[in-house]
Amino acid sequence: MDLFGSFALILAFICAVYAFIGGIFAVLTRHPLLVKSTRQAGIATCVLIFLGTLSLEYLFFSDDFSVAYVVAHSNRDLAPFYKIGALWAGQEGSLLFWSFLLAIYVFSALMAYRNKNGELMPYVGVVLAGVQLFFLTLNNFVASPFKALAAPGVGGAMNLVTRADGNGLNGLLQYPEMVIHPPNLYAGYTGFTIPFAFALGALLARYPGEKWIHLTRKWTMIAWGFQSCGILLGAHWAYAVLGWGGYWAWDPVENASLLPWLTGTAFLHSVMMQEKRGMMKVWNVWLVFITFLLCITGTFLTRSGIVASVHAFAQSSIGNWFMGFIVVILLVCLAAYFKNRDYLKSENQLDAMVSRESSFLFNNLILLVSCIAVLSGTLFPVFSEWLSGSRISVGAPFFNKVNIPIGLLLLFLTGVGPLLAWRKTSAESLQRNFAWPLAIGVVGGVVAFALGYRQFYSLVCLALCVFVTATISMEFYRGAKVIRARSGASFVASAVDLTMRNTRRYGGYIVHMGMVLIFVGFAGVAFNKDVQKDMQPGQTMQIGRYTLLLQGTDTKPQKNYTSERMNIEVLRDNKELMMLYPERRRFNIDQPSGTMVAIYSTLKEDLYVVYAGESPETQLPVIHAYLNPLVKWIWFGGAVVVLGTLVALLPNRKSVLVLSAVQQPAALPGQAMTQPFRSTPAMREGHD
Amino acid sequence: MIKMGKRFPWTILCVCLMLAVVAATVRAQQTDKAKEIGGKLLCGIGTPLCDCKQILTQCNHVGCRNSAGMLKTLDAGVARGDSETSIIQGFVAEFGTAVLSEPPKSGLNLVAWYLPATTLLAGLLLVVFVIFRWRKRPTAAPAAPNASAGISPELLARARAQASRETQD
Repeated sequence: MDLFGSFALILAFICAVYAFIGGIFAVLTRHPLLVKSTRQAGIATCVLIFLGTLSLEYLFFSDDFSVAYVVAHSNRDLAPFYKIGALWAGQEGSLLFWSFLLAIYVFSALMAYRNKNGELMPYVGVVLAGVQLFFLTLNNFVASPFKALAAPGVGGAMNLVTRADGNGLNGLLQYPEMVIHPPNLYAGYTGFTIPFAFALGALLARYPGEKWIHLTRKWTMIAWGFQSCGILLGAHWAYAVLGWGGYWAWDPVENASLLPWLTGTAFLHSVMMQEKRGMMKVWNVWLVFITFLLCITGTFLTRSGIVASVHAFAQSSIGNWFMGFIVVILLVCLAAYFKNRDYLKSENQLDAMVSRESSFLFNNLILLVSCIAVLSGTLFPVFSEWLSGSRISVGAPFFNKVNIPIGLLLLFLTGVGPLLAWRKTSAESLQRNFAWPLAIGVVGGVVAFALGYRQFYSLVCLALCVFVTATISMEFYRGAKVIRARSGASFVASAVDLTMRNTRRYGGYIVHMGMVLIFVGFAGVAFNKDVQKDMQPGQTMQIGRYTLLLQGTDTKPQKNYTSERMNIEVLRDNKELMMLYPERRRFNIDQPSGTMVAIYSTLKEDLYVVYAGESPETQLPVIHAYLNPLVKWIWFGGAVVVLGTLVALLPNRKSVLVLSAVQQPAALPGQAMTQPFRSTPAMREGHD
Repeated sequence: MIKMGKRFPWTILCVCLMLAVVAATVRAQQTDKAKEIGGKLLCGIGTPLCDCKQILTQCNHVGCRNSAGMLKTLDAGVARGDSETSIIQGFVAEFGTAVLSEPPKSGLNLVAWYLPATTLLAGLLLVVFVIFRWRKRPTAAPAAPNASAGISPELLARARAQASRETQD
């Protein structure tokens, strides 16, 4: 099967070469047969990558320990669920997985538009084939996952060998979220290839300015949704497994995942200005280019070993390949831009300083500044060492100091944006729209202060969260009120109807609401507490209102590891609450031991208990307990963000107005109801 | 004397309680101070003992010889009443500037500190400039799409109308 996999990848490489070079000729000659054959080569590339990836999975499931990659990342006792995750546990497999996800996107795009946009698709096909070609080069010639295991034999010759069992999967990856988090994150990274290919293709083809944006809007949202989901799942995994009490450490690899998310978010906002007003064309094209470049940069950071990170793969020469690819992409983007920049001229002017357009400009600015702050902080130790020769560290305190004010500014703009009208917002409208949300925000701040949230940033954050919630609620309330008056339906049904009529707008508001909930969770960080104690069975420790009583310990052998559990009884205000079982897993194979944190989570706070191991001094179990306020809001907010993204992806329901019972006498039994009629033009809900 | 004798144990008890409270407060302050200083230092710098590079007080590797030793030094410094600066200087002398969890605010490191704020200010100025420039200039005619792209003005207008409907936000 390893030969089959290798062969499939080689064939995929050949097809990608044809799709790329043939595609360039197809663009130049516009020969219909060439256009068709290169598109089919693109589809064949994807199918062959699917086969290659399935081959590697088969090798994992059949415990084929003659393949080096399988030996390095699996063993016989590994649960089948984690054998799926073993695919991306190492450098070679994760690069193949990248190609696999990219192939899903490319296949979907080529099939979806096979009979449409005939002038644009050959350009898009060339760009997609170019990106696939790069990754297939790595899969075949730099980091092949199908290399056979070999050992030096007599006379220095390498002999093929087969091991009885593998080294096993890294213990930290043996957690359910690790089978979900990387695919989500990778699907985000790879997904941005589609808007990139369409943007570059449209620029090269001088295709009408907004068309590529219409075509890629959903692709961009899907990629953004996966990226958001991946980041949050990663944060939750870090929280539940690593056992240091937090969910975001500003590790370089975490930062790398945040960078394209920030620019992608900026793009999703600024794109509306191009669609609606024909403005920001240059900016949008470059935002897509930069987002894609940051996806590749993130991969470069992870794999080059240039920055120290707990996530990073071992330092290898593969970083040079990525560096070269980044340079090539940048040069191609610059060349395309300078060749066709006249084509990106803005068609409209800005009417007023206070308008929805200007709020998008500020929103983009803040997101970009945050991106620059994170990127510069991540790379600064490298530059500092190059320039001054001295090693410095840029850790979480730096990123928090720099990014918290930026985040709060962004939160404020999240609330302000929807209150501003397109083109121009009058002073009266400003006063009318802002008065209530501002007042509610101030009251929220006072209540938070009274409840004891007296750290400056936390207090401002909570007040802003209330302000933004008020603005979003007002938007739903106004729109639903109009529908309710016309249809007579309940308020909730009217709000759902409103959302379904303009899924993009109201889905966006739901995403904003999710972000607000996430920020509520962030506000709690300033009030975290922790206590650590070496404990004997029968001893207690106190944290906040909770008393932890260590009742005893037990050891449970499992198939792939042995679990050492602490049985801890939790009392709240001296009343029995529950049992918690923090554990430490010692794997049967040569892997570092892992923690499994026990968490009692409420909306108010998380009681987070870690069995940190045995104290070398007292030989007693060390229990580290944390009290982390408001953390649950982050995961809840993440779910709302995903829900909002899904809503925004739905097609709009046609505006159908049904006369309400108030306006229309009720139909008598047996009589036909009044026919619904379609509203023309589309209804306008809410303000402006 | 008798009265005083009766009050004496209560006085002692009160003094002891007060001392206990003061001691607990001092201990709490000490712990808080150690946590605060520990938050400014990293574990695992310049040593193969622990390569986690976590915030010192968050290093969760039990038996980590690196963090255990550093925390002892830190606690001892706090107990002696050393200033934060002198404790941190001690660690810098031993491990180098990389032990600090954030770059010192001097020399080249100022670039890291001021870059975000400078970018924000420059960006704000740029945005305001762009807005004023856009307000003044006449509306530009859209560049003609590639004729071979086959997009008619009607199709373009229809696409824009659709976009306008979809972006009522």
